[in-house]
Amino acid sequence: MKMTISFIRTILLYIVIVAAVRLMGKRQISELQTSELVVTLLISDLASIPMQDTGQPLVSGLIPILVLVMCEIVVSGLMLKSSKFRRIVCGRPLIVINDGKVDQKEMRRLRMTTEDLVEQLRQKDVFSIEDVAYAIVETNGKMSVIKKPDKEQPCAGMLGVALPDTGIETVVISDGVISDFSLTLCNKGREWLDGVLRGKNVKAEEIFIMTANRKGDINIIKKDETK
Amino acid sequence: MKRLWASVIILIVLGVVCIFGAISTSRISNDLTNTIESAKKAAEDGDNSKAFTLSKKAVSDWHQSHEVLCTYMPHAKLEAIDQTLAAMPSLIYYGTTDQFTAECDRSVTQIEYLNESETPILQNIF
Repeated sequence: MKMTISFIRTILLYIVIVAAVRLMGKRQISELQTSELVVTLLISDLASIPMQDTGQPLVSGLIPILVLVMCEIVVSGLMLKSSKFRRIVCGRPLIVINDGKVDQKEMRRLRMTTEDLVEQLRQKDVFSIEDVAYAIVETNGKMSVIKKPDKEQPCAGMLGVALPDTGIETVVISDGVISDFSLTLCNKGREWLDGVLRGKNVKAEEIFIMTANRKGDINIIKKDETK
Repeated sequence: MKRLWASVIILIVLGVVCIFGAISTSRISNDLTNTIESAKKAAEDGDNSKAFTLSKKAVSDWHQSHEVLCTYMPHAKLEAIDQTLAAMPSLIYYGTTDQFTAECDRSVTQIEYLNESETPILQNIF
């Protein structure tokens, strides 16, 4: 019986946690700020108690989880309204390389070793400190790097090359299923898609992936014949 | 904005659940303590029949409230009171009054502890 209770509770808590993370927003599943990290760690810990210990009521896990979700929403709302509050909760970005010079004082404040600095630069495809004009440690712990102008890769604008604007490329058919949302994103409709498929003599059900962009460029990958 | 409203709803739901928990624990423990103390007094006065009826009532009341309490209280705490109350009717039925009154005291202490542990006072918070 205890196994059944654990089974049901785990499903219930799974639903609650998924709903909680959805409620807290997309930020919770990407880069975490201080308060978000705290909430995520605590929720995972709190959920495991009533899951494993059937002697604990489910409410003893649900109440703290809901309180944390509520606090997180309120704190993120306050951070949106007040930059002072945001600075208190998240801190401020720190410049560790300023105008090409490594700021050792800031590195000490961050308890960041030279190895950490070089490692984070490498992750940004920068392999020499000399190439960096500015390196900023953001409030979520990630590093932003601005290279020196002479070390930057030239872009089309700098070279005076005009590139055609093809717009966003979207997956309009995925595993035989047509996505009207993706069609709308690339300014196309069902009529256009039917015409393309007729022209290529292929049915939607036979397609594994079909991508399209606003210009009308398409790419079709058919499903494998053998299952 | 929708999320802020969601957090307000969560706050209201949590508030209702917490107040309901505190009130029902207090009500159940008070009722049960009164019944047990009446049973104890009846036993001390030599009215074993009344003490037996009251102890049976305490067991029955406890079983009814158990369904509510176990939704928000650790089951181990409730089991301890379960065991103490279960023995009481038999003790008075067979005339072991001393042991019956001792068990009454024990159950009252356990119920009071249950109530105190659920009360949002500073000692419990820190």
